[in-house]
Amino acid sequence: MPNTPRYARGQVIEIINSVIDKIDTDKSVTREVFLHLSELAQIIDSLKKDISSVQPGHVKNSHIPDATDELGAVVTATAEATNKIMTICEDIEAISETVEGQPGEDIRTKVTQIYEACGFQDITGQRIRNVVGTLQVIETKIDKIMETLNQTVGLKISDEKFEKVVSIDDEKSLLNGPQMPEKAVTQADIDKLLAEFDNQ
Amino acid sequence: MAVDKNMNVLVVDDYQTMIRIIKNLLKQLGFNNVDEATDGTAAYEMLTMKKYGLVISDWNMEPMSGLDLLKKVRATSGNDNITKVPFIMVTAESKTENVIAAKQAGVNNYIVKPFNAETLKTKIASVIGEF
Repeated sequence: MPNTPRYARGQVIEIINSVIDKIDTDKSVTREVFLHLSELAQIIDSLKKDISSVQPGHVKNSHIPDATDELGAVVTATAEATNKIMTICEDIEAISETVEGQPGEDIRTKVTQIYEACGFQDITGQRIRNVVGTLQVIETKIDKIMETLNQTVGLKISDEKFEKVVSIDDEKSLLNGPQMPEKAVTQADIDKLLAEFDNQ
Repeated sequence: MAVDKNMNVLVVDDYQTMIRIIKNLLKQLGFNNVDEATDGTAAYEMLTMKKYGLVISDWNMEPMSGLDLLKKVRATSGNDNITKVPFIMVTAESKTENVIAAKQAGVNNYIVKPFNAETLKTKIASVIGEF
């Protein structure tokens, strides 16, 4: 803030003392100051409620970690798929050695092109790493903001996590996308559940 | 002088998929003695243990990046096999500043990802000779 006037500590104390003196001697100033202070307190209170309603704790404890986990799962899944593709290509390449002449050559050319295309996994992995880095920056900044708010107006960030409620009565809550591999319900589990319905 | 395709080649990348792609492409070009490392530290260790005719390295790796590996290689004294090893950077880093930094560090050539087989062949040939 380049245009903010700067005062020495002694000058600030002098100003505060002068305001206190004025409050002590002039009751109308006292009332006016208290009205302004009361208004200020209401604004701060309202701000605290607004910030609390945003639930920054959920952002820090759930949304950001969940996003990081999802991105990690993307990298893992694309790596697995790419490795499968390459294994198949290596097998095709070996078979192509038994094919004489131009057809064999053509097959090897196509396999090479698939290898080249598989390079996408490296690029997407790096981009995702950048996104994760950005999320970490956001998390750090939220921490900083909340620390400042805690120190200045006593607003604390909660540790609670966001728990999504999934209900068959709420169709929107049923839209969650793929599950994380370690929590995923398997096809066998689903088949068993369906079988239970059929048996009822 | 004819290129010896039996020479040892070292591929350095923290993505296993990329190592595999480069190894397969090198195999198609006739280079079958290809070792791999997943970061600069491991790569340098391997360079001290065996003579390599070519290093193909990614940039963005932890704990030692490709650029740091290159600098360490070029700063090695008493072992020309390491100091002067042909070094190609293969990386997604494509800013002018990156290329300048790599060149100043002593890189022989620079390939930007994604790349194709023809580019890899051309850049290798420009560094070690036509094959």
